[in-house]
Amino acid sequence: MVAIIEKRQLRDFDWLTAVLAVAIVAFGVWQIYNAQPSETYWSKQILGLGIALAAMLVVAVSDYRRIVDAAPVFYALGIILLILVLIPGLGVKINGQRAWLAVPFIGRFQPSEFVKIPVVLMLAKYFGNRKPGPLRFREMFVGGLILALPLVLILMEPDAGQAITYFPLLAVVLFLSAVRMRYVVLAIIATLIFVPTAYIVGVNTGFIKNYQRERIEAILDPENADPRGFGYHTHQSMITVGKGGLTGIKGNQEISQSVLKFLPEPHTDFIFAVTAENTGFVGCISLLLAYALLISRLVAGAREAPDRIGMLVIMSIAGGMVFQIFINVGMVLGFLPVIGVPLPLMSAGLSAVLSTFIAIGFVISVKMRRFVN
Amino acid sequence: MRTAFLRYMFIVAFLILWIGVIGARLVHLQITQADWLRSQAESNQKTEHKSKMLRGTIFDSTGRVLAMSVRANSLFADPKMIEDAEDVAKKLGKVLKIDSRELAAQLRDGRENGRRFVWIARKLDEETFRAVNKAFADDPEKQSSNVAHPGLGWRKEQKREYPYGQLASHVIGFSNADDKGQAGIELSQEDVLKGEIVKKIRQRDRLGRVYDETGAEREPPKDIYLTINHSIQFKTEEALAAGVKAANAKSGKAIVLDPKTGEILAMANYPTFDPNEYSSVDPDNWRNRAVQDNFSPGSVMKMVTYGAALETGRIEPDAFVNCGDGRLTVGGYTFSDSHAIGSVSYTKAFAQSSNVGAIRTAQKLGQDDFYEYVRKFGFGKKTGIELPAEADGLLSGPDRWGGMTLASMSIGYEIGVTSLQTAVAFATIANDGVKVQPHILKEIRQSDGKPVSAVKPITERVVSEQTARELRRMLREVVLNGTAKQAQLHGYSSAGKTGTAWKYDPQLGRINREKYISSFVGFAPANDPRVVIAITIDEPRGGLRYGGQVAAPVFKQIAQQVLPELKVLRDGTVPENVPLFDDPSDAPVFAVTESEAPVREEEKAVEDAPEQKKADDAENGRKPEKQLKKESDPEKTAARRPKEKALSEKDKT
Repeated sequence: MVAIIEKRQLRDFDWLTAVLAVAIVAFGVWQIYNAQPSETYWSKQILGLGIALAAMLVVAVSDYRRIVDAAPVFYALGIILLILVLIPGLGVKINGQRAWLAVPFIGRFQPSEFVKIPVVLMLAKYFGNRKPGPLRFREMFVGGLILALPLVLILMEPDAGQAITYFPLLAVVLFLSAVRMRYVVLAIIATLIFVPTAYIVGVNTGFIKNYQRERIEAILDPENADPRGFGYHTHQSMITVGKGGLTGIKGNQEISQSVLKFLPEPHTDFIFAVTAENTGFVGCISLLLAYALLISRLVAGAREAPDRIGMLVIMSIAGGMVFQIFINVGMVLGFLPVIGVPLPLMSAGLSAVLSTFIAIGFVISVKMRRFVN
Repeated sequence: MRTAFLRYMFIVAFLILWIGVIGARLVHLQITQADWLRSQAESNQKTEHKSKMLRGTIFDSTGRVLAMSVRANSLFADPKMIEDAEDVAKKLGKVLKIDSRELAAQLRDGRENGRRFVWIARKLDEETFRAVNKAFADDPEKQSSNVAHPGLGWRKEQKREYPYGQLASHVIGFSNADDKGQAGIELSQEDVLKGEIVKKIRQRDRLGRVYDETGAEREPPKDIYLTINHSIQFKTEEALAAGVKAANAKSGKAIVLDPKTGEILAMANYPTFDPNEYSSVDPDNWRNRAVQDNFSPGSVMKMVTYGAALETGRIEPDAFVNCGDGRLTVGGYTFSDSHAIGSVSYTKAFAQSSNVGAIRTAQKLGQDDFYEYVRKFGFGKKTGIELPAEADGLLSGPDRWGGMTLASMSIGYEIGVTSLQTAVAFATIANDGVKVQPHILKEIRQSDGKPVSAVKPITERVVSEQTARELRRMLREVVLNGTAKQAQLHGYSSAGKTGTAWKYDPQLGRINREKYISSFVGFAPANDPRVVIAITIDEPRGGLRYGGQVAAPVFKQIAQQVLPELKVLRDGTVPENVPLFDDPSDAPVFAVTESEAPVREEEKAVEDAPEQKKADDAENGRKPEKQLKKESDPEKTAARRPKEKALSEKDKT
């Protein structure tokens, strides 16, 4: 397919976005190595990057409109994967969550990560083709349904952290589809009331499990959190971040928190803490600036998109990324409770890298076709 | 599109705000708090690993446990965590049998002052430990190893136990609540016994796996075997206690020493204490006076005077010395015997403990030679025994002596000695003139029983074998015909020297003629001594107070039991029947009453019964004054002369 790429298309290929994304992943590989030098996560991540790059190129050179047209097919496939993963024989259970499918040679594959793409496509297809004007309630309901189906399946795994990352996909699409401001305000107010209420109800009815409650309380009241109990993750994460100081630890002289296994999940959920420990304040800010640059490229790409569908795809994906970065970094820095949300492009995990690069592929595809039609 | 643009800007503004917050947080964590968090990480990773092993055991020479450590549980509280101090205190008060109101106040007080650690009860036994757990358990049937109450917890400690109670307490000493030796062997051998503290800085991971280890490791605690024999010690303590009580004395000390090896078989002080409850005793009682206290030995010192003179050839045992009228003026002071004995042999002058005889002997020696031998016999310096706070004794060099010092010192004044030093000096004679450094530590072994080190005592020849033999004969004469007839044994020959001295009173700044210190140092059997026994009775206040009266009977009682125990063959010696009052003897220092006990032929054959009576007399502190007067009649002295030979012949058999 590369052969049929025209010269103009090549010129419009968004090299900066692609290079930025690859750079972040490369930086991520280094941190994964720092986190678990004795494990093979970092080499798998390189393999994942290769696969993801290939997928990105395929998506980039394809016409995103054709892909979006086929959204229901992808969506259906995604739902099937999410159902398959729930079947005990097929789905691999890790830490009490049946969220992985075993894939030969590559290892494990996490459908809930990957299904974000079909959901975004489906949302873009539905909201991109609607007539202008304020959103009607029925449209919002359909959008909710598109989200709800995979969400329910993911919650059955159960993977609350992953489920949360689906909300911004819809939120962004609704926000950009001229949802009335009063709904936005209403939604914010509703959230502000609903979340604490649900928390209290959840605690009292036992729906929220003890460990979840303790993790939340570790944030709300860190002074009294038991640093050996569920406040442990947050406590250790903050220690790890602080230990990095301005420029990070001297690798050869000090054994890092993650190598000593004080930091849980250092190669995935707490990769930002590893970065902080190894590269210090300078490294963290650099990484965040790289993210900001990448997001701004995506947003810029969305603004230049030739149609609403392209704009929505990019913005939804960007929104999802921003939200994940927000949650993940917030968690690492002790703002937010510990939720299993990976840091996009940094955390080890084939599925996450693949889905993020496919999304970037879409962005490139959209931008490449901004002058078409 | 204006709405769309605004919404974009809204998102961008939100992003910028978020990055700002994250940045601020990063500054806070990585710059402001970096050092603190780094130290937190280090304290997580580095653990000071302290493992405390049980303190070493102290055994006697036969392997009986004298001191051992066992595991014990101590209860502590975190007052901050205890909200219901009254309830907790009530429950604990009941189980631990302590005042619950006081405990409640203590807990409340700790809570107010933000204290996080307070001992409630330390080193509880297993039974109390279970009872406390049971008191707080939800299900009283269930056995628990924890106190089911927030703010209460156990800490594993060790407890020192002394199974024999007060036996050899002054030797063993004791260790305090923190397992630190405070007295005796516990103190002097602290490094050996100490529960090992392996202090390691460990780099560990979350699961506690160790990555790196630095720090010093001390050697494990070792067990100590003493030369003390529990049985001999027990008998010694028993005899000493009886002797002190009989003399109505303030205190007493006794040492049983093996002259050949220098091993201390027993070392006793009275009054004694139980190291299990050391804190309830007057700390003054903890002192091992036998090695820590100086006293004027009095006539006991004459052994050194005569020994040195014999060794240097200045006197012969059978040569005559003129004790004249029992008065001798030296340096402006008149020393006197209790009565004149005229010209007698040195042996007899020694046996009668004549001050004049001793002073004349010392004068033949001269200051320097006398001083040299005093030093050689071990006075004025530590013996080197493995016990803490050993006294040097008080002995100044001839350059600082006054005009009467030589005379005073020759009869045991102007010199301070310890009981142990006197025992060692006599052991030197008992051991054919070779001084053996005394020791109480037999062996140090690892906890698995492997010997680590055994004590090899230093030996030093002080006088020739011949001198030692002659001196032994003279000492034998003291027991047979001199001031120490109470030291005669059944079935064994014995020898020794009495001493009765006025005590130096630091408050008066001079000698107090009301207070005596009476001693007897002797050995048995006389020809081939197996034990040296030094007895000192401090401030006898009964009617009897001379060394021959209050100390010699203690020697006798100990020797009589210890010799068979050591499987020493009897040499068939039978004691004369010497009534106790017969022995006024050994003059307290400057005014000596010398007397001679007439021995009646018929009494020699009498065995146990009169001996028993005599002991009874001693115990009751009776002083049969009438008889004393009669028996000290000097006229009878002459009548006794011819018999001396017969007696010494009997000795040889």
